[in-house]
Amino acid sequence: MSGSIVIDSIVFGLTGLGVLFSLLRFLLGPSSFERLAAVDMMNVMIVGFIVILSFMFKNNMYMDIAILYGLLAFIETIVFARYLESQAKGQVSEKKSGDVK
Amino acid sequence: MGMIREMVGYSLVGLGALFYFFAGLGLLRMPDIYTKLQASTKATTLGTFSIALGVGILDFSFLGKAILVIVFIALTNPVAASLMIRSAYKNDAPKCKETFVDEIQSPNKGGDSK
Repeated sequence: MSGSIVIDSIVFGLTGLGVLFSLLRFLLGPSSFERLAAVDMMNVMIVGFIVILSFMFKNNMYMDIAILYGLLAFIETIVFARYLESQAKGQVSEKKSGDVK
Repeated sequence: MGMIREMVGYSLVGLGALFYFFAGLGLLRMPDIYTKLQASTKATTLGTFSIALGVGILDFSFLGKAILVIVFIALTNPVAASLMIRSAYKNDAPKCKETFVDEIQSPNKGGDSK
């Protein structure tokens, strides 16, 4: 990225460790909420990494890719969170209001 | 001037990478889902701000879209974390044993023993 091997190792090593820890949490998370949180955090880290790549390749188009990736990740997180919320027990009032037409 | 700009930009990018590392560490080591989300959401939001601002300072032609990335992340990331925590709370996700105040269940009790 910068021509200096020290700065490159620090930036790529720390970002890679963050993504690796999220991947570990995704693999051994006890419940599906931890897996969802790990996927969302990994997506945000990948957005930041695409921004670094756009500086590295000197290409302005990677910024658009980062914004689009963030938008798709946000929609994915919202859909899965709403689905898991609809699986919750004790939601009698919502079901009743759904039945009344 | 150019050297100072490069120093500031690379420092911001390195700081953002350090925040990503801390976010992954918090996600891996915290005891329950609420603390995991609290640690990782704040750290990734600030890390993305720092990395995008650093890249925008390093190359001024990237600054507009970098600010767009910052605004986008600032709008979406807390909303996503709030939705995830709400779905976990409604499913009665287990709390860690140090948690003793639940302000949704009992809003008037709790706090520092008043």
